Amino acid sequence: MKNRRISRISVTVCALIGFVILRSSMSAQPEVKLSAEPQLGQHIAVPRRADIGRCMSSPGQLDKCFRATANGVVYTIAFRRRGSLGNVVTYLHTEDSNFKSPGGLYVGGVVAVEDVIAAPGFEVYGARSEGWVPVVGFNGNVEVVDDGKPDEKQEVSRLSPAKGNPVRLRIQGFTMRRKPPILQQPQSTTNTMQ
Amino acid sequence: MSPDRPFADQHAANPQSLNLYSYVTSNPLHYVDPTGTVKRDANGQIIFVPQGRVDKNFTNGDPRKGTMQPGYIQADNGAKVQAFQQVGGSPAYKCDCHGLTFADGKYWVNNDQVGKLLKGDGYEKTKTPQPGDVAIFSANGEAVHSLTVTGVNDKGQVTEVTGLGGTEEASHSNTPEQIEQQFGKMLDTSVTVQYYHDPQPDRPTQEKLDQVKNYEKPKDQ
Repeated sequence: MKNRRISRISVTVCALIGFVILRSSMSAQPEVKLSAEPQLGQHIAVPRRADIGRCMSSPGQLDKCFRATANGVVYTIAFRRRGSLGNVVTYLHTEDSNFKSPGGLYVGGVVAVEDVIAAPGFEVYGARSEGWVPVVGFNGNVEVVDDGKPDEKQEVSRLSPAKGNPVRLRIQGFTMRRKPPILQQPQSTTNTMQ
Repeated sequence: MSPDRPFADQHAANPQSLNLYSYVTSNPLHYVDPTGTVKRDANGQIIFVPQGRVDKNFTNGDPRKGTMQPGYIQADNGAKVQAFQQVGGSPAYKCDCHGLTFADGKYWVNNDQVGKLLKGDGYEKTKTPQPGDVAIFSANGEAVHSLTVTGVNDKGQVTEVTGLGGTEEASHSNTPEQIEQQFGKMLDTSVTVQYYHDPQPDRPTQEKLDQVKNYEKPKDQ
């Protein structure tokens, strides 16, 4: 009888410990979901459960950032406080294989680039336009694709693509680009958490 | 002995700072003040004050990650300028362009702090820049890059600016036109340069030029 009671107490204690461990591990890896794909310049309410870190949002700027999911895609979202107006999105990036660019490009795919744009000490882009652009490297290093051979790591300065003579590069991710200043032209919409 | 400029370096939280006749907040063993305003430690090093918790850095695409302690350094007028000290991970995050131009290459200083630094340190715009002056590159009114002037020809034209960008490991030199073109292409907008002169430099010009031209971050382990 006594043994049965001790055993019951042990089971209860173990269950409680398990619950506490599970709960703490869940709060360490929170899944933040957004109602829609985030936008640059958009006001954003940063959820308390978000795991906040620091990200480079440009070669000379470290902003607070967190990861969140929208429409099944994980995004990294950097933000900066803009006075009393709250937090504004300053940088958006994804390396999620579920992401498809408006042009049908995807992470791990290949893009033919006629004009490589290297931000010094930061991302290397495969397009000059605004909106979602493929990121093909970091800190001046890219992976050149030659079918049938392993990708070759190269420095951007050694490449000489030209109009009509593109270089094929491996897509590492996508970043949303917009002309500066980002904070002076915020969008009025606010992304909500689910 | 002359008093400090009123309101130049005064903070309600630090009553000692309200005494215009006290020297380096009455703590000469810790701070020196060669120009009458800047706080550096007894070895001439910029003082960084940690503020808040250490942030992990998870910049995408970069296999090197840094661990950053947020805080501030102080401009000559006492204004707090947000800065970051790399306390772990990759030393590639030790400083950015502004950190090399304004903070001896020891801290990361954000684009949005450059205006505060220029004003707080008393920098003056100049059309006749000299070696040691700073070149600020801006796009649509926002500072996007800074470098140190390291070459001027006999016509007074800047021929060389030196520094680094973001996580680049070492400094290098370019013409200002090359930088305008590179950043203009990167940002897909017009980028222009403006030169500034510090009338009260913290240290000899040659010392600054030598440091900027030979700057190299520690290697990744």
